[in-house]
Amino acid sequence: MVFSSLTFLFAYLPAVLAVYYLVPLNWRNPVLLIVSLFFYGWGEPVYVFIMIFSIVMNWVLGKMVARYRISDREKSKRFLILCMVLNLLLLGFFKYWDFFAENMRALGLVFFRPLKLGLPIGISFYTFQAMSYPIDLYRGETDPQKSLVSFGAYVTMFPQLIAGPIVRYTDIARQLNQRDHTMEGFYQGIKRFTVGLCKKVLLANSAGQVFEAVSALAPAQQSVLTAWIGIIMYTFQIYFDFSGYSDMAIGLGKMLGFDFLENFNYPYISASVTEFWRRWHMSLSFWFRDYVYIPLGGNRHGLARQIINIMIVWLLTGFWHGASWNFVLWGVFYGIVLIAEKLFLLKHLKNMPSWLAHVYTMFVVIIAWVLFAFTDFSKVLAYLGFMFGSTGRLADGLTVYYLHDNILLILVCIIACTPVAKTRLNILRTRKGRALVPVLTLLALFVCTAFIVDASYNPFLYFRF
Amino acid sequence: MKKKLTRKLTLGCFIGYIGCFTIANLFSGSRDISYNENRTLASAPSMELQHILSGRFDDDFEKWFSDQFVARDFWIELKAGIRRLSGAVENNDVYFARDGRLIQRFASYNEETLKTNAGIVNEFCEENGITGNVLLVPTAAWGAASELPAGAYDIDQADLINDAAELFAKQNFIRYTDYASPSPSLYFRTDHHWNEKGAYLGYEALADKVLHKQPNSFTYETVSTDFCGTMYSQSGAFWNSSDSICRIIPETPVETTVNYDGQYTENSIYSEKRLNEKDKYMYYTDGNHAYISIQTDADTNRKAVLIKDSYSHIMIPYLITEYSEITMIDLRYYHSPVSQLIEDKENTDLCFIYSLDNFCKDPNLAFLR
Repeated sequence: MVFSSLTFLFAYLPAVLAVYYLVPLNWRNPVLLIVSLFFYGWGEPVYVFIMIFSIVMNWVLGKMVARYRISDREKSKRFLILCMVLNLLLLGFFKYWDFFAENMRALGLVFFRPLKLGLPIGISFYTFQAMSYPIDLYRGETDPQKSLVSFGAYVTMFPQLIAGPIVRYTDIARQLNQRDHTMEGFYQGIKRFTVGLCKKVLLANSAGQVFEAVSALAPAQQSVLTAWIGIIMYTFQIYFDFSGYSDMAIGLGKMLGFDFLENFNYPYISASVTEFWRRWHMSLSFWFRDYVYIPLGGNRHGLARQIINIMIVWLLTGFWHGASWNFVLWGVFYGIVLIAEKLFLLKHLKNMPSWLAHVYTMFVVIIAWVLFAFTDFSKVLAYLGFMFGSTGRLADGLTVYYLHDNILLILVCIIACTPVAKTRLNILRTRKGRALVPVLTLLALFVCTAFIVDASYNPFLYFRF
Repeated sequence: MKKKLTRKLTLGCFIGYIGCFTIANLFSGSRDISYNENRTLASAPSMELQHILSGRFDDDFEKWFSDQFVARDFWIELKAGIRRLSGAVENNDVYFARDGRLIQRFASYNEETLKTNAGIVNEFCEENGITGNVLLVPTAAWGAASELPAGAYDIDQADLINDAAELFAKQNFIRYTDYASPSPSLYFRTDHHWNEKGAYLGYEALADKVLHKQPNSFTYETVSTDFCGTMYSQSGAFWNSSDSICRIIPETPVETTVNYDGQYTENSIYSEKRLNEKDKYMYYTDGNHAYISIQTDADTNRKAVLIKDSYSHIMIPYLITEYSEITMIDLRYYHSPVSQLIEDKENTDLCFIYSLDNFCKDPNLAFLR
């Protein structure tokens, strides 16, 4: 069940909000755990047991890590390592086994067999989230959670369960035990959720359809500009999809009294790729920084070592995004660009006119999205070919069609990528304009409902022809 | 406005909105059939443990929930309306053309399929020692091109017909574009078919190229004015007005006996009961059947065997004045040898009548033998 489904909006959410606010305060964590497990089990009825195993394992081992962290550092570390190994085995088995087995078979080792098990939804997110707990305990950055139920509520919490943000235990530990439920929080939550819903349903899905159509065109129908329109639409899709989902998660969190950290900060206005990665999927970047890059030594052991560390982080980042070579390549590509920026490019970027730095950044990002969009490497090459003129056509009637058909969508997407809504141009931020908030909320929900219902529109046209 | 009031109102709107529709869904009745979508709507998913554990439950539930969502058609129309207002030129690949006309996009075709299908036809005709008459009808994107919104892009169907003509060099290719100039009046406004005027020109072309005679004259009688066709359904643009369906009356009346699939016989090529259904185009020869055999009292002693899609149906009222026997074959359903139907080659006209876009993608020609 995704947030942008009718089941979520018109069955699950109202039921959860009603129950959550009707029960006494000290029942709210148990309620949160139960409804979150229900949420997970709804889509993954069998894998919910893996989730429960993960919760109990991290909680128990976390307890052991904390118990010995002062008296017996070695012992504490052994528990920590055990916990990490179990977490990574779980993730490795479900997410990467088939990829590993298929590559082994390609090398002639037919003993390995893909299991075709299907990936438990959100396992990449909740495993990382849960792992932060024993590590932070070992580092003494937080104290163990006494209640298994509260810990379970933290790991499974449905707003961020399937697509992040990756909430670290330390960031939310206090709120788990005590949080305020205010009308202001709920109001902010509604605004944030509605914005996220619009991003996902109105922008991301529509842009995605255009990219899908363009990438399915026969080579004879491609042209340079058509291919660029297609990949720019994908660029919009992936941002509004992911950041929209994060907005909805943050909004739902606020409705339940939680404050999650931000996950996106207008990444497409960056003036360098380094800056882009400080603004894109921040919770993941922070996770890798705190739990991989810095423990590896970060920048404290000389430039050569730092470069190796950056490469390791980006190999892992790429691989985290999916068990396929194109994601590895995507990560390596970013690793190389970031190292280049660190070594010399950043200096030049600062001296360039700022528009040029922005163009450079978006160019790199868009090329990287081509690597990300197609798991099949021959398709990556073919699409890059279309973008750079392999067809010998700059544009044709189809280009005009795609522009014309999506003109408003493109304009809205461009504006929504910039922080213009955070400025005084946004009348909703003025005293008088605030009156529009309830009206626009209602209107947005109304329009989103139409788009979601329409997605299931399936006229039976077999009577055609 | 006071911040407190804004907060309260927003909260009220949000809770009220999702609350109202949640409750409305609980109490709204279940619909079995969607008229506009022309299909059976999903029913409640099975609550058996096995189904719940299967992993499909989530999808099945959402399918049911959205199929039965309160005022479903209204939401679909609203989305189409928003597309239109946003400056989009189409919704679900149907153009919003001038005067409420809805036109199917025809932006690409599969050259391989076209060549394969032409090859099958050529081979079949050669094997049976007969010359085929081939009529490929361009779609409304050709005929009503003048009505298309700015920015619309389609392939040049007149060019495609010329290309196809070369593939059928050994057959008698009937070039529709020689007989008809592009005109919106040849097509329904809300359906993907040509209408009685378009089909008349097809008949005229066939009379000239196959029968070598002048066409007969006909009069028209409107039998329904609320035909909302496939494009109406596909576009979601339910605000557009409907089309008319008419009966096509020859100057000299013709009696017919129509046998459907070898199973039952009617004495009219029109199916009155279909006028009460969604797809009123089925008024002509009762829609899609594997095999339709029509005997007429037209004293011509000529037979026609039509390998066809539904574009041919509206031509039948014209053709019954020319043939004493017409056999219609739909290769989607009819997989027996067609060669047995054309043994009397002297008196039989073998015709292939398809819409151009369908002929470029229909995989069922493979059943022709």
